[in-house]
Amino acid sequence: MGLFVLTLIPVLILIHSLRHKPVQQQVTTLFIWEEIIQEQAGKVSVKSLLKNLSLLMQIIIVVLIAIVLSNPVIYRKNTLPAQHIIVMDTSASMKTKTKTGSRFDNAIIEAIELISKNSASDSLMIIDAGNKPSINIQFTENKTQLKTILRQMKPKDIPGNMEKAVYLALSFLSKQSNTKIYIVTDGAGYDLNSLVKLNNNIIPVMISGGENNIGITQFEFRQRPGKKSEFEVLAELKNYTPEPVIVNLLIKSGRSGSTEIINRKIGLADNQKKSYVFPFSGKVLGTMTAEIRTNDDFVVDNKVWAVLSPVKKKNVYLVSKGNYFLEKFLKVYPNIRLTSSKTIIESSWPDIILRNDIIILDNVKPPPSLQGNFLFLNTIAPNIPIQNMGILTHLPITDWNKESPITRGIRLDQLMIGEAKKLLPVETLAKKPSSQNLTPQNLSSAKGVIPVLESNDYVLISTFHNDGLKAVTFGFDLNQSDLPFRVAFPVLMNNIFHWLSPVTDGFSSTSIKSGQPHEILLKDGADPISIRRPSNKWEKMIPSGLNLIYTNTDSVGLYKVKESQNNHSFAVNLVDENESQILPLNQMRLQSFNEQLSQTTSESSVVGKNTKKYPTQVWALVLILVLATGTLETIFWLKKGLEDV
Amino acid sequence: MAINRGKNESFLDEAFLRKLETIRILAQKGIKGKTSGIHRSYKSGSSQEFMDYRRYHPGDDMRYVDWSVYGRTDQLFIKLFHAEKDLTLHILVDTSKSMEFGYSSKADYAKKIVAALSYIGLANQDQVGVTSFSEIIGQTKSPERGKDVYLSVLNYLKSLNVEGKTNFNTCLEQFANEGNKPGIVVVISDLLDPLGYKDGLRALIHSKFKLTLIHVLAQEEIGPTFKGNYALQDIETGIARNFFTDKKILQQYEKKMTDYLNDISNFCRQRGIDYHLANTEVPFEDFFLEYLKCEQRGR
Repeated sequence: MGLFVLTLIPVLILIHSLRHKPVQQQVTTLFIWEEIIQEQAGKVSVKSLLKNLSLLMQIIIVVLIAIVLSNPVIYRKNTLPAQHIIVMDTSASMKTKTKTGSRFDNAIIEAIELISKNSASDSLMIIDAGNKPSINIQFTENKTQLKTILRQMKPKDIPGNMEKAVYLALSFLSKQSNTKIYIVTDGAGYDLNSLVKLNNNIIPVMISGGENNIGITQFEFRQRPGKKSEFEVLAELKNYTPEPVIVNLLIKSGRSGSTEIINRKIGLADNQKKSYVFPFSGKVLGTMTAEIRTNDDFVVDNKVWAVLSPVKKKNVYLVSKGNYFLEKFLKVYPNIRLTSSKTIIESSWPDIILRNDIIILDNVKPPPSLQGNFLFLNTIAPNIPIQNMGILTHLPITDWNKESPITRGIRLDQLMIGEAKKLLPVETLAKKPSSQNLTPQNLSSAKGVIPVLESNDYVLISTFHNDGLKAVTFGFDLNQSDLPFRVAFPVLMNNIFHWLSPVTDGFSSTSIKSGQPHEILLKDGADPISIRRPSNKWEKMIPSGLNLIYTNTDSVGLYKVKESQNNHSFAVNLVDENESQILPLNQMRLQSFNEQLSQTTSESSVVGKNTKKYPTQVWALVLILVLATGTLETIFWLKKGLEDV
Repeated sequence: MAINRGKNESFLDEAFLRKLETIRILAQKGIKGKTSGIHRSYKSGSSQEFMDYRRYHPGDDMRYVDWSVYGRTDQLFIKLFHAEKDLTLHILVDTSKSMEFGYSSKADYAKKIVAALSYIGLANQDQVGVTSFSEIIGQTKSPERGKDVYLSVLNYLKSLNVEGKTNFNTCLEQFANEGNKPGIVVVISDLLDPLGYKDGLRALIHSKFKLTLIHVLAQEEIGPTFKGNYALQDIETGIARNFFTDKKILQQYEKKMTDYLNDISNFCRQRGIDYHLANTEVPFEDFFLEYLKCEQRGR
């Protein structure tokens, strides 16, 4: 629209050109006029300007109108208070010792200095870039409160998640704000460079100091196959220093963790990683620790823990009229307590369900059950939304679910099955036009059925999990297939047992990585439990079901879980090769970041930290100019008219 | 706007001519002449107006001896009288193209002045000659005496064409050098010659002419009123110049014109030239009567 108005300018010029065409006038002599012309020569520009003043004013008016229509804005410096975000790296590497305290101590000093440099009207926010980034304090002008919050912050024994923290900070950036994101970090364990490139307002504040580290990056414990009391310990060590080192590795065991199993001097070349497997025999009870004795700058990865629980046997209840292969497998399967029956006694069925971890029904139709862990062989439970559509013979395997937890580590595509039931999940059945007699209840519960093995859309093996009910259904008799002869059979059964009843042999939950959640399976339902942290502080927690997900695993060491009738422990270790790499950044990049920070700081001091250009609409002002120019033009025109008269 | 009103119209009405008949052109000092006229000369002569005595010298006319003085003093004295000398009136009229300018044409106005002056001169038995000039000396009406000459003067004026550029100085210098009879020269011109006017007037003064300058201008020349963007065209040369005129420019023009007129006036006063500005907007009769009054006062 503004550009369209500008097209009036040539029209105006044309009109004025027409008006200025000279009129012929005879005079008796020119010499007086020429004298005047000569005298006027010095004033020609002013004269011609005055002569065209009306045109100039009209052009100015047109241009101003065009500007008004284009909704002009001017950018002016605004001194509104700025908002800045300080992202504090609280990952384990910030615990690295330096000559002037830990890196985190230095980070606190830097952050406090940043806060002090801001003017009183500036607001700041502090984000803790831990495993799960969180806002420690929202934007506030209260510098004292900000400093107090900073001083209360502690580094954790977890790998940080700086990327998430930066994205969280970026979510507070707006186009018109003057927000800067200061990342106070050592740059260890993640790619700082790519983070800084995300936005120009991200300014790293680099913390350095302390570069020597030798750490334990892996610690595993396992039973030797076929040997009941023989075990192996895997320990992986890495030297992060540029010099070769010799460290003393000490592995202890026992209920109180005082029995020394291994004590060995280990030599590591510069930046070398070595894995050691130490066999040992005996009882495995209590805690096992591995520790390296070294005077490095980072102690979090110098010691690892593992909790060795006594083997717990699963209660398995088998209802079968006789299944040779299954009974043989259950006899050799370790850590189970087997109870067998040929028929179901319905009166005691609820009690059986409560007392057993796994119930196997082989060719026996079960009564309805709303909870329990079942393995149905060639039978269908009434609570499970599967319909039998008939019998299949010599059927090929057309699909199998490789992602299912029960098919982990096995292949079932070559399985031979002589005869099987035509099983269809109710959900699939509902889509078929011939389906009848399906109730809404059946349909709603059908989503729990997950096919594992299929033949032409018919389900041969499926899993079902709904609330307290877990079930694996085989649509065929084991004796009608070659499955018991396959290597996959024991693995499949093991997987099924693990899926139905995850409470395992005591080795799986011995240790977790710091920051990862720990699932606590409860015997006593919703009774409160207490957890003792490595710092010997107790936490009281109220679970809402039969399990509790504990997430405060931000310190390495042993955690003790105390239930009303059951106690157990679990260990939390760093074992993170990236986080143990405490070298901040190479010197060149560090220097570059420091220069960036100093440049930003100096710019802030010169221009004014909180100064930013903000757009302001000025169409009203320009419109006033239009009116003023129009008035001037009118006055000029009237005056000229009077002069002409 | 240049208007050339009919060349054949009568320049003066009868009533005005009768008024003029009673007035004579008075000369302010004696002028030499070969023939006797009705104007007095300081040279002693035979008129009845006594001037002075002087001793008798052999050869003097014995009729002018004052015998009564001889009887008392026994010495011969000769009576001296003002000699009645004839007067020649030369009228030089500008007929360049610029004289055509004006709502009331300057040329017409000039012709009326010529006619009036001629009438008075002839009525007083003076010899009257009229010469036109523009780039060069044009038609000339030789000086003659007698009222009957007046008609031929009018015919002469009617026959004058207004044309050509002005070459004021050259023409006047040429007239001064042609050996015309001494007498009064009345120059009637608009003096709008870029080359000036002074040399021509000086030449006439140098030739002992009694000089009167009648400067004829139109009101549009003294104070133009046109405003705006104009192409000003010289009426004589045809050259045009674009010019934007406004109030200030016109004021500046008027000032320049006033300066120019003052310059002419001063020049004339310093050299004993009678200068009269004739604005064509002023009725001719008013101007001429005023002119005559001035002439009488000057006497």
